[in-house]
Amino acid sequence: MTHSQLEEAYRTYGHLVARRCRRILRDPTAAEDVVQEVFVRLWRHGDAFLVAESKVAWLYRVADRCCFDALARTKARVETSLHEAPEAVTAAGQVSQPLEDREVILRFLGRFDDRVKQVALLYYLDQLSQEEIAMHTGWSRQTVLKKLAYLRERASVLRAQLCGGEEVR
Amino acid sequence: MSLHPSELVLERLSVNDLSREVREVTERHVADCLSCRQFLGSLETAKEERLREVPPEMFMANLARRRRREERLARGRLLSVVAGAVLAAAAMVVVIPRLRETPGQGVQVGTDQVRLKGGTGVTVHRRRDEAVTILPAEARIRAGDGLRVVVTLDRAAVVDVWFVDRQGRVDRLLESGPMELPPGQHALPGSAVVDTPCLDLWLVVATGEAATTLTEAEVRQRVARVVDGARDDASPEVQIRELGCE
Repeated sequence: MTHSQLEEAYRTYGHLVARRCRRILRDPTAAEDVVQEVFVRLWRHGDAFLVAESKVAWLYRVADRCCFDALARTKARVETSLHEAPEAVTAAGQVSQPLEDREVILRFLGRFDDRVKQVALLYYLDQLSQEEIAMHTGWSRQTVLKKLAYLRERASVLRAQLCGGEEVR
Repeated sequence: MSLHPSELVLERLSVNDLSREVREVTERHVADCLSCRQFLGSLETAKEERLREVPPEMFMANLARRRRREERLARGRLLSVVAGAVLAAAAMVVVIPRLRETPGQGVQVGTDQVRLKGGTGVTVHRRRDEAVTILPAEARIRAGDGLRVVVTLDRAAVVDVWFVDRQGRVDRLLESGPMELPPGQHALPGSAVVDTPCLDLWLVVATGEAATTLTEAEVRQRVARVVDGARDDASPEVQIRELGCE
């Protein structure tokens, strides 16, 4: 990939990658580091990107992987109060899942294994339906349902612990 | 799909990344939907802010610096890897006088050396009671065994390696993530020690794009497919070798 192609990719998609990394990591410094890592990988593997059917999906896939790695490296995430302002704008009416679940799950994303993390991002961040997640991952709908049920249960427990001032485990 | 397009679809629409069919449907919805138009507007604002805060020239300069730094680190790592490969080769000469040759190209699972498409090979070196041996296909592992991975590349490639145990736990061998390696034989840094009690392991070696994009969940999935009896022919970039317990 040439320098100008890479720069053009940054101009077009940089804000989307940065937004996604910030939402996953909730740490602007760590997110910025991951954005650079994503574009370094794009620099190295630009040919695959250039022929990808969806450039955004390709970049998000790499960004998710880099974020999971960052979460695994840091282990402990900054777990701030639930009363912080939520994400600036979301398309209203899309949130068939309660926003609170999404907030809790994304805040504690680092605690889940990669498979659960992947479902959490597809459901809470990308807002795909259960069927779409099953198609995207190649997993059965039953598996997706189980993971989502698990996430909802964990969200409920984590929220109760946070609101009750208990130590979150 | 719910009443509104997903955020992913709207994000893709904002950068013209949708197929014509989906784009037309989405655009029709957006034309009549204030909240989706607001969301698209917020993306446009985010783009302007991003380019103002981190202009492309600055970002590219940062990227170039980062890449130079990583290349310097990789060269440093390469020196230790080469040293490791020399030691491993010496151990092979002492312990096993003659390596079994694996002729031909393509995918072969279960031989001492798993050969990747294009003539790339992977061998596992086992340290047990201070003796280092190349682990033959039929050999088994036991608790306390130390395992090292040696890859042979016929061209420069990015490599990543994981061990997956029978309980589905995934451990990455390369702590700092995928490594870009030149052609030749490389003893990868780091080693795995078999837990007590011993659990069957699967070694997963990815090269090329797969080394960069594969998530741990996908690594686990691929191993599950192999355990279920499927040959992973769809992706010659990802090779899996079973390391069963004694």
